[in-house]
Amino acid sequence: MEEFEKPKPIPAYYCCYLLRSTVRHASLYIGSTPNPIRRLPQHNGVAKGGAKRTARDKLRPWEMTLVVEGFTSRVGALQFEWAWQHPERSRHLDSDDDLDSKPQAKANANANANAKTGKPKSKPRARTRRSLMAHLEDLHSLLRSTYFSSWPLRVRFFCADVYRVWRAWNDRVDSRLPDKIKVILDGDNIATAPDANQRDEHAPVGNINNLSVDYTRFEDHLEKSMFMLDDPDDLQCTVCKESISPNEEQIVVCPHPNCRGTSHLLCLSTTLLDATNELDLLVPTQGTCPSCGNTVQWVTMMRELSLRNRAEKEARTILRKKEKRVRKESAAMEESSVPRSSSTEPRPLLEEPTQDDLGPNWFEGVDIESDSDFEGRQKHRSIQPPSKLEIVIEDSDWDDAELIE
Amino acid sequence: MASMADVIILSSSPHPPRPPGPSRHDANPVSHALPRGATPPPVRSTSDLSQPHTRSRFFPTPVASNKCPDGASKPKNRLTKKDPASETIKQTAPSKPRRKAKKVADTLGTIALGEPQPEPVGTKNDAMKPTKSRSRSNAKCKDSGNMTLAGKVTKTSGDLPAKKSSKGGKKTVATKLSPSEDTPEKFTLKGSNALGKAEVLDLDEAMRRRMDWTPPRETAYEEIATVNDRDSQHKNRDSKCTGGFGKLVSDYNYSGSALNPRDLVQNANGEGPTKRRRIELVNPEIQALLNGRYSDSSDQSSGQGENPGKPKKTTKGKPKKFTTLTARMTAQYSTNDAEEDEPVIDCLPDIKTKKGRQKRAKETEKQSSSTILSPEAAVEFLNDQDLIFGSCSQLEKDDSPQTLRETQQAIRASEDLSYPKGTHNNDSSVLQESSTRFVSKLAGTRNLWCVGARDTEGSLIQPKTLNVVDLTDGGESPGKKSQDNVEKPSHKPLQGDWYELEFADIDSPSEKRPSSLPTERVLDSDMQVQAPAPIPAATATATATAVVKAAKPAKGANKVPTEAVESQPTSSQAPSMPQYTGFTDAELSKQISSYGFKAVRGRKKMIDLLQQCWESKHGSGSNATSDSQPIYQTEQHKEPVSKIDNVPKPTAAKTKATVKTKSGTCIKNRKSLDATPSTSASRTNLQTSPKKTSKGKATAGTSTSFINVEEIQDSEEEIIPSPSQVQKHYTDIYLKSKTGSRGQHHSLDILTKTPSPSPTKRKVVSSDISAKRPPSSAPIATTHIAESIEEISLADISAQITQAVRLQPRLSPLLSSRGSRSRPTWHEKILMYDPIVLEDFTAWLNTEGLGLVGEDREVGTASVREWCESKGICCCWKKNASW
Repeated sequence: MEEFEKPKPIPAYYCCYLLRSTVRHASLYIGSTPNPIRRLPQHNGVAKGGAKRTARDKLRPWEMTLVVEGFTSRVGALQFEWAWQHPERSRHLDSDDDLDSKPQAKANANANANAKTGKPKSKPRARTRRSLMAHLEDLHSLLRSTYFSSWPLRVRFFCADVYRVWRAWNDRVDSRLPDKIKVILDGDNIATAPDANQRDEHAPVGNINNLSVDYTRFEDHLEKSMFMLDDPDDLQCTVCKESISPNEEQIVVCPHPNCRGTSHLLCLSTTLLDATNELDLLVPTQGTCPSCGNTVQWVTMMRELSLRNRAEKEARTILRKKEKRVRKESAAMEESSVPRSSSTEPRPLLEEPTQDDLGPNWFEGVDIESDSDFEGRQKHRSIQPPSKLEIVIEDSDWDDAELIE
Repeated sequence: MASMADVIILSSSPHPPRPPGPSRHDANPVSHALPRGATPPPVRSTSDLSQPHTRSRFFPTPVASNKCPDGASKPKNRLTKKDPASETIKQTAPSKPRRKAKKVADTLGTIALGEPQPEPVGTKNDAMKPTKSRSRSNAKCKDSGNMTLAGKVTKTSGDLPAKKSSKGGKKTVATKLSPSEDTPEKFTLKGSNALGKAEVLDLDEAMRRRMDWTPPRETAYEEIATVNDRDSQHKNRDSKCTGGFGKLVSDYNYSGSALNPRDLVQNANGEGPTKRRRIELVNPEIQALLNGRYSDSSDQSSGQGENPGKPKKTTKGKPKKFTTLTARMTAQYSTNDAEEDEPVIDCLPDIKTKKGRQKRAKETEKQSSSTILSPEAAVEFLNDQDLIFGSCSQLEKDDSPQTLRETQQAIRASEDLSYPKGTHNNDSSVLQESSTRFVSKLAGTRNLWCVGARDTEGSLIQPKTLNVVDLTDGGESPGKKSQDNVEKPSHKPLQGDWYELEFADIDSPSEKRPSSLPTERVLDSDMQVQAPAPIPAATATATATAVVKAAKPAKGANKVPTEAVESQPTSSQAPSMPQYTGFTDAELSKQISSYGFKAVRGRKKMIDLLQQCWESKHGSGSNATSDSQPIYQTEQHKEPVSKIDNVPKPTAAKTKATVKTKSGTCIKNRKSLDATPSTSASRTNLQTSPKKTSKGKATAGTSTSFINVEEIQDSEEEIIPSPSQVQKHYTDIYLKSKTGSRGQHHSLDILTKTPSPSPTKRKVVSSDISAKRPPSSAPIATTHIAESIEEISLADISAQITQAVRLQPRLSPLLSSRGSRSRPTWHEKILMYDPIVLEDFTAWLNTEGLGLVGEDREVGTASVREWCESKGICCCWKKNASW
């Protein structure tokens, strides 16, 4: 029954984006990529591999007005992309008026979509001619759809004008996006450049190039968990209190740096789900770590778990690189008279929180210096991702893409 | 057919055969007849009959008979004498021979009727007959003799002993005698006479007959007789005066005629007679009785007159000699004494017994000593023996022992499935016993006979052994010996059903030996022999033996049957849950894999799982359905009763009829009631009646158990928890133990929900039993709900899917095993945001997942997709999974 003998880990980053021609704002393009930092230059012709659609020089350069990120699988991202590209044919989209009745027949969906847009059915044409507003409407609908609404998605707006349209639409629409879906204002929408070192997924980064598209965000978590599970003898599930065997079981480790909570996948999920009072749910969104009491994002833990269990090699590679980097850092810090010698060892538990609220002192302290370091990291990352995980490079050019439906 | 008439020439042969025969005759006519009687003799017998008549005429007649025209000419002669119509028929018939010949034979028979007077000995008859036949028409006589007379004539010869016995005995004797004498005669005839053609034809036909043999039609027989009578009326009238002999002769003719029309191919040739004629002979007896009554009428005197003559002879000669199918069958496997040169199949037990009385006693002693086994060895041997019960026809049909065994095994295997394990020792044993019997009845085969007829060493059991019996019982009157011997020994050994079974089958000897005396084995053989012809014996000694039987069976019934059952392979194979605890881990894992499960980690878990599997597979009522079982059993008993009622009635009716027919039968009925349930169906009507009754009663007695077995099969499905339920149960326990609180939450829901759907559906599917049976507590209330729910399939199914997904991890052995990490459960996959491949997931749901929650419906990928999307679970088609 397990068809995936080697299932892929949850990608570090995958997003769908709405590309807009800076020359002609009516020209829009919807794509998906695990690495927008690399993808955007492709569209702009700086790098090879851009989509045909975006190849016309007249329309270049393109800008990513917004990205929908947080997809947990390439398949999911592609499905979302396709649905967004073909709203009239997607089974997840109804007319905006029929907000939630997703599973209607496609014919109905088409009719409604057409009725709404007032455009003929011919999809490709309709798609290209779609207005920004229409795309945002579709996006809104998709994010509300039963299928996607439970996904851990975030919408990041880089362009202020696009966000305005979005807001306008939100005001017109009766229904709201589910709370799960975070809307992040970024780029133009924020007056001041965000903290580049912010590790929170939800924090604005200010620029597409600042997006963290690799596992760097999780490396601390990963390091901690691997360190802990190396010697699992004294560990026990925080839920069922039984000993855990990481080699045989799916063990979830709390992402909180200071928390040593470990638990069985099923135990923790059951606990978190029970807390939500939604018995129908199978996958929790977030919950309270039974060990440390902090709120933990399910996706975060799953991402780490899948990476640790399914891509052990890559995980170790990531950790090795981190070690190098940390050594560099420490060296630099030592040079700069800041004593960071201890950083290498205690790090797993104490350092580099993955979440904002934790904001350990170390991080604050380093913050100042880290700018320079950050640049290095960025270079490092941009180069590395392909080597780290096979998934990373692939982008979707939907011109030839098959229908997901 | 004229050739057949020519065969009459055989009569000439009879004389020559006699010389060789004399040795046999010396001992007893019967004895001769029996050994010779085998297949070929019948024709010969006919010839024999005719022979005496024709001898003087042999040569003339044969010539005529050999050539069709000649035959025609003969009939013409007759015609002139008799009816023109008959003549015409005969003339036309010349090619057709036999019927015409029969008719002619009838005429001859009439002639013979006058002759038959000498009845006392076949030889005498022969002598008489020829004279008479000569006087009237040689050709006619010969013809008739060929066809019909053969069997009958032999009878006459055999009559000497047979006459002593009842008419039925006569029949058997006749058949026996005829073959024995005939064989040598025929050979001689063939060689000497030109008749070879006819003979050849006969052989072929005989072979066919054997192959195609089916029990004869009584009605047809009579009709034919009547017809013959008409033709022969004139002659008959003449012959009326002759009385017994005349009747005998006429009977021969008559019977021959009857046989010919039916079985022209079969009996006329003479080989057929072994089987069919005998059967017919049985009918003739009745007719003979009638004839005796009607003897006045010319028609009967001619055609039937012979019959009565035969019976008389038979009565004198041998009481029991009914050639029952069983007797014949057994006879085939029992070799006559080495003395008897002819390996002929037919050695009727009676003959044996008679001979045995005189000679066999000595022989038997010798043989018995050599063959007797120690009690232990005998028991073992007996245990090893396979029993097959069935009518002779069934036994005859059946193929090689291999196939039989295989079928038996298959049946057992199937039964094993249905069997409850060893819930109650008594019950189970009874059940098994009944079942085995039932099976055995169904699958009758010659094999068993073969087996039964043989010693431990594989040598045929020889009739001589009977003598030994006599010796043991020596105190008893010689006249009763045969009967008494048979019955008494049988009674002794026949304590329980088991013996009864053996009684029918011949297998008994092995058991008996150990129990009492070495001689007992001999007794068994006797039983075998005599068993076919119980009636006469019953009449004679029934009372005494009956008492014995009645007393013993009661005791033995309970104990013995069980043992017997156990001894049989089926019982041993009865489904008992293997002792998994005794298995090694490797074996356990293997077992588990055989059930299609993946390796489970803990030994205890493996054992539990295996037990669950086994129960679900074999449907043991014991463990899972502790509550429902008692009820279920009671129900079973109830139903059986109804069935019993149905069954026994007809048998009872039969019993009554049989009682009327024969005084002895009543006693036997008692016996049969008590003791012998498993009589073979093969026996002829008269014989069968008592035994059938016994069967009916026996079945009635055991019927409850037997029925129970069947019901169990039916009911098992329902009673036994579905695999899903079992799994559920298992999972629940497991969850409680392992996951504790969290597991309970879901599991409880599941428990309440799951049972409902399955029972409802099953009930719908299942027929009566389900309705009767009180459903388990939970299901009842829920069933209605579940039914209503089914309407709302999608919502319901989605809930079921959810439950299934939640259940899987706990249930699956993977959880504790290494598989969990490398091969996550569906729930784990979902939790880890793995894209769910719809095809695989659906397959799992349909094969396992929904079973976990007792959901019988299947889901399609579409509905599964709906479910996934409603849950926000990323799903995709297989082709897209590689994205």
